[in-house]
Amino acid sequence: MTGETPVLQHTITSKFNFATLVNAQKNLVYNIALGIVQNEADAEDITQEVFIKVFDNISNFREEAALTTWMYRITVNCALDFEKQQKRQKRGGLLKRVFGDTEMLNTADFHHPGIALDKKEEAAVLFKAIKKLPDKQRAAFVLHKVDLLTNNEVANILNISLQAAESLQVRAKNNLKTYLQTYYEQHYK
Amino acid sequence: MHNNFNIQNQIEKTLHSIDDINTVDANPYLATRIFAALHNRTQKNIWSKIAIFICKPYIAATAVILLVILNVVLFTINASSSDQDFAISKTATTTNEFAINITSMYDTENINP
Repeated sequence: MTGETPVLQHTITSKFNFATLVNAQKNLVYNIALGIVQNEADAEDITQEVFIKVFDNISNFREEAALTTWMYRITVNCALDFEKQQKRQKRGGLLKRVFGDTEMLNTADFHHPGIALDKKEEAAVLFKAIKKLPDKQRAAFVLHKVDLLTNNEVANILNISLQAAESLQVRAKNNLKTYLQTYYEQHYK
Repeated sequence: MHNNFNIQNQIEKTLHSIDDINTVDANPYLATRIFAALHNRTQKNIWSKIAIFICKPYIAATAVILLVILNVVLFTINASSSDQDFAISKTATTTNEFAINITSMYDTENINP
């Protein structure tokens, strides 16, 4: 694998090879992106963008955090930026934001490939609700619950304190409960 | 009451639906795609880099604003100079038409200055 193209042979630092890094981290980067954007094709695009950014900016990496933490931070930022861009491009975005409550009922279901078949329906509703969370809460919740990272790792990736990361998750869970309450009240009518 | 209990139950069930989520393997060709993208990017020539630079919204907006300013400046300069030209040409036309510069009758037959 390492001898296929000049890019593969390009050694970023004397310590490791870029191809090794891609092969080792592509799944986790993809999973983080997938949890946030909730679309497999978009998650692949983001993964590609992340590795290109890593390749371009590796010289600026100051080793204040672990390389993986830095990469996951880039992933979260890329995914959230992608979402914002998508929202801007949607026609009638303003009207949808004004009548935000109906959005949850109208968007297409996302079925995460890593969810067991018997829980797919509930998980799809939960992912719809996750999409409505504010950016930081969504990132914290997805990193912890979907990508199964520890609170410490979440705090490092989001560049916040451990308490702040925990607080974000508590707020995210409360907001999710509120969204789900509204959803099921409408659903059970 | 019973309905509310059902809803609370359903909410808890939904919140725990991702508890045993599995990590998904990315497309096996994703790595190849990333390397190909990097490889193609490094082969970009100077013209494509210039095109990408020009196509950036803030560069394009700045260029348009500069163009408008340049147009306004040129229009203002031309407007003031064409007023002067028009005044000069009007005087010359009047002079020729009424032969104001000819002082004697002999001069009318004198073609040479």
